[in-house]
This record gives sequence, structure tokens and C-alpha cells, in this order.
Amino acid sequence: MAKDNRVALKVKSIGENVSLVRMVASGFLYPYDLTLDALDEIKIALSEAVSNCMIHGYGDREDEEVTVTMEVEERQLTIQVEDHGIGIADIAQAMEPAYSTREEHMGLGFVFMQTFMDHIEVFSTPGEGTTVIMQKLLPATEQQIDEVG
Amino acid sequence: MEKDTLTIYPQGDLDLVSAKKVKEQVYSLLCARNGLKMLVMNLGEVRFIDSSGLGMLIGCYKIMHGRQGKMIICDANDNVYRILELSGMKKLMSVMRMEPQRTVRGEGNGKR
Repeated sequence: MAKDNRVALKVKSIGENVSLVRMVASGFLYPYDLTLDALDEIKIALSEAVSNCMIHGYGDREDEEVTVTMEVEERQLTIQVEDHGIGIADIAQAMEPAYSTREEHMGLGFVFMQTFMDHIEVFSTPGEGTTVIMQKLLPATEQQIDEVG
Repeated sequence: MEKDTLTIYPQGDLDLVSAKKVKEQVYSLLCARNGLKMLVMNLGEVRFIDSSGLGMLIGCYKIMHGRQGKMIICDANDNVYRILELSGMKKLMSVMRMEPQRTVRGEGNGKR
């Protein structure tokens, strides 16, 4: 069985780092034998959270930092994504489907995070930043099911 | 008929950066071809899409809709197709599993 693990990375707030964070997540989650579907879902949720920091938190300013922490403990995955940007005044409103402060965006970011992860919590202080914590219990692999059965 | 159709073949991951690039390219192609009535987005080579990618597709749809044209999304892999379904994109525009009237692919940027 894959060991528990933890990784933290601090990236500059440039759009290119959204795919970098996804790549790190793929590598980090590789030992846990996820199906491609399950891995893809986590990558989408992560992509949305990190994109939000860059687009909304920092308003596309590229000289800021986003911190991503991923941890697996007994197959419970916790992802924390943190920025020190503008913050969210009304979290409930921001999480409503189709709500967006920008016309070209669909307001699907939080919807995908909620759909693909088991649990999501958002902490934000206007002017100080936003932290999103998402959790998902990684499905057991066939090998583990065999071992138990 | 062929002249009235533009098929785009984006590749790789459609996220914040790449969706913006594709959007800029498609917008300039559409501006240059005002009479174009049919836009086909072939997602066969797209491995990943998030809401930024979907936003780009919606932007293209709005342009085509504005000129009384049509937009078709096709050839998406299972994961991408599922996101198109989840996002309600299928209610807005035609999402087909296969490309309509499949022809030989053009070179370069997938423009033909």
C-alpha cells in the first residue's frame, strides 16, 4: 500500500503554473493507483482553485504567489490552495453556480470543485486573501479490495 | 460549402493559458472570415479541459450565434465529453462524438 505523503509548493501567479501544479498532482497521486477518471476529476478541481487565485485573487497580476499543499493520510486527500489576493466578500455568492465577476467566465469553478471533491471549505478575508481546502477519499484499488476480501 | 466551414483542432490541455491562446487565434480567424457560418471544434487531441477551456468554447459559440452561424463540438474523449455534459454545453450547442463529414486533416494549426 502506498505510503502517506505530503507536498507543498509555492508558485508564481502566472497562468503557466496552473498546468505545472496539475503535473505535480499527477506525480504525487501516481502511487495511489487511481483510475484516470478519478485523477482527472482531482486535476480539474485543482486547476479551478489555482486558476481562481490567478484570475480573481490577483486580478491577473503575475508577480504574486500561490501556495498549494497536497496531503494523503490513510487515502484521505487534502488539497489546500492559498493566495494573498483581493479576497472574497461574499463566499456563498461566489460559490453559486453561474455566478462570476467576469463576463467571459462561466462561474463553474466552484461547481467543479464541489462536484469532484467530497468536501470543500473556503476561508477568505477581503484584502488579505483566500484559502480553499478540498478533501476527497481516494477510492481503494482493486489490489486493496482483494487483500481485505 | 467547404468554404463556409472552419474546423479547429486544439491540442493538449485546454486551461487558463492555452484556452486564451486558442481563443485569440479563433477570434482573429473569425474576424477575417465574416461570412463563415459554421465553426467545428474538433477536440480529438484535447486531453484535459477545465472551466477556462469551456469559457473559450462559449465565447466562440457567442460569436457564431451573433452571426446566425452554427458551432459544433466533436470527437472529444470520454473525460472531456463528460465535462461538456456536466457543464450544460450540450444544451447550448451540438456536441457530437465523431466529426461530421470527416475529411483529411489540414496541416499546421489545424485550420483548413
